Amino acid sequence: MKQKIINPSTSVNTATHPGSTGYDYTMGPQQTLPDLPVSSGTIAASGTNGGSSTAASAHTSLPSVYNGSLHPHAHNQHVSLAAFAFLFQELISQARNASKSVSEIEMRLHRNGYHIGIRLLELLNFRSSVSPGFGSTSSSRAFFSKTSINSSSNTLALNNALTTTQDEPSLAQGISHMKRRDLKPVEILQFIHSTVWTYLFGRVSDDLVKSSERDNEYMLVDSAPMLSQFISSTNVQCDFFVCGIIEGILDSASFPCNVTIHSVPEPNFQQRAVFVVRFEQQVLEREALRA
Amino acid sequence: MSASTNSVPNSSTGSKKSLKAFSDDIWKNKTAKINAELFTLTYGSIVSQLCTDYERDFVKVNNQLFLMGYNIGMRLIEDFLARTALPRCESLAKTSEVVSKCAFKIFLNVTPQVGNWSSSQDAFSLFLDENPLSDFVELPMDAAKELWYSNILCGVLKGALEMVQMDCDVFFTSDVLKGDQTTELRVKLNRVLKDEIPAGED
Amino acid sequence: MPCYFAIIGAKDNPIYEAEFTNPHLNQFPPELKELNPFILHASLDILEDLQWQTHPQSGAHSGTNSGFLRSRHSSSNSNCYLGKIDHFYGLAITGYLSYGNMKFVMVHSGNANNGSPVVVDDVSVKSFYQEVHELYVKTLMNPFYTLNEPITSPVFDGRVRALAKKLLTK
Repeated sequence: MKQKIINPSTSVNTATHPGSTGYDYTMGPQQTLPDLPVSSGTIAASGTNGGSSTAASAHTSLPSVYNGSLHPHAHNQHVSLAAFAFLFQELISQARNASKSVSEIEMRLHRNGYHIGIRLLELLNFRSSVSPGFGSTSSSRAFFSKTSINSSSNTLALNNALTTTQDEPSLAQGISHMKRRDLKPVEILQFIHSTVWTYLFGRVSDDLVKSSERDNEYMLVDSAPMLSQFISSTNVQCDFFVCGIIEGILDSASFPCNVTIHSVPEPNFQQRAVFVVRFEQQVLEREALRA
Repeated sequence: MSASTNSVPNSSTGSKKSLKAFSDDIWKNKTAKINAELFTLTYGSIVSQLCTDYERDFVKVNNQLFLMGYNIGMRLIEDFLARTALPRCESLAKTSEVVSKCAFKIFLNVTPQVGNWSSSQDAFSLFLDENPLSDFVELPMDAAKELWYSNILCGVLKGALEMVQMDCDVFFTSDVLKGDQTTELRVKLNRVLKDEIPAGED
Repeated sequence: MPCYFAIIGAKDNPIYEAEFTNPHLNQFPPELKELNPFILHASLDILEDLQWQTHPQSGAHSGTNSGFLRSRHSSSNSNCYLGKIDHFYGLAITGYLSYGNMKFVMVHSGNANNGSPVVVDDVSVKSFYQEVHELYVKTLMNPFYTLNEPITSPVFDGRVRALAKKLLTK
């Protein structure tokens, strides 16, 4: 009976900072204790007020991602392509320096992309569920940016937003129907072809084709891949980064697969790239079961 | 790396409009743009990967981010000067204004506040109210003390200023990610590297 | 009604767990408290079955004998919120899937111990899940968070409990 074990440090903590410890999987689920104020987050957030003065308990003074907003207009929507290009070039040269072989470079770029892909799957689908126009008025934009950026200046308002969640304009409040989870390979590939490509590169991909030879194979075509345009003279396929993004999306959506990049130049499109998605057998088997 | 653009005589590019309007125009009409979140996410993947690669030795991560920024800065300055055709800055005050109102604006679409000048006017701070690098970020507890998440910016400034013959120390003194009230980036001018202007450029 | 809520990762590993109780309501009796994780895990098979069905909420031909137990609700086109997916001696189990197939599951207990089935208020339970889903997306967006790792943030915990108080244990 773990609730009978009294851990001295925990009990002290509970008295002074009730409920501010968070989930600990070695402890299992904790009750919402009756006399607790609901928002343990208040304590964590009010620490931002003190800054260096309350540095004693550093962990309670950090600002939190939960105070920000997922609204696409919560912060600036664009940076210059040049800034991204410089960063990306540096990402590649760093991958080069840290690797012994070309395949290792590609693997590193793939990993960076994968990191992004798993996030985009949740973020973009969740955002698509929100009714258009929700929270996009100028006044709420101001509110969003204030809470997300200048968290320290008005701690009072922040605390209010924490204690009474209805003050916090969560995107979930603007959802009447969640977008459906994509269940078929074609559906999720269309999501990548349209939603993801538009988000990343400002336009849909040029084509999405099913292989006529192999059942588990699809091809996403990009005639002028944005990333390789500012990488010159290299045999490293920079679009392994994009392969990683695609694979991250598909993998975390439970469509395990392997994504490769093939350069297939055409007269007008020297950089034309074909991303080949090969689903694992289990995906096809699952499809067959449902059909 | 040519320094020719650095030595445009002051007179030739007399700025009639304000630097802000000038930069807004470049940002609005002459800058190819990309989704800021792709930039944010890419940087996030770089930093988190470095933390793993260096086994959470955050001092090493800071140094590596600085180095990456330094490499960027050395290349970025050329692009910057080509796009703005701004003349050489006659004072550090002017430099600070160009960095905040123009460079930050046309690359990252933010305008940090300049302030906290040293009494000898050789050091200033940039206060980043908005920082596209750190959206969605919450530092893990073990990183909160040592990691300067956006340290790449210091390297960029260091590298870029060095290319225009300004030897500076650039470093963060506070970051809202660490629970500080502001994100403050300090620029301290050590000396102007006069000797390294290639002969015959003037 | 007290509830036991958990987020389960891709390897059936718990990412987050909490009990929602309230001073004016019954709490889970100790013997049940220990059982909650098992009850919940037993429902994961049903959840995984529903995960790939085109109309997981139509119930009738779900292929599992628990189909008829699931609650009906208006938005039958959605496949994130799955409604009531299982029951266990008067406890109801509801489920929800995120786009990355994180499993959000909850054991709902009634107020009285008379064994009568718990009535699940789909509207508020669904909004609870959607709000937690948003908190989860925020967690995931942090570059330092690793997929499938436990969410230890006290702020996350506080927010989830605040939502539970507002929507579930009122």
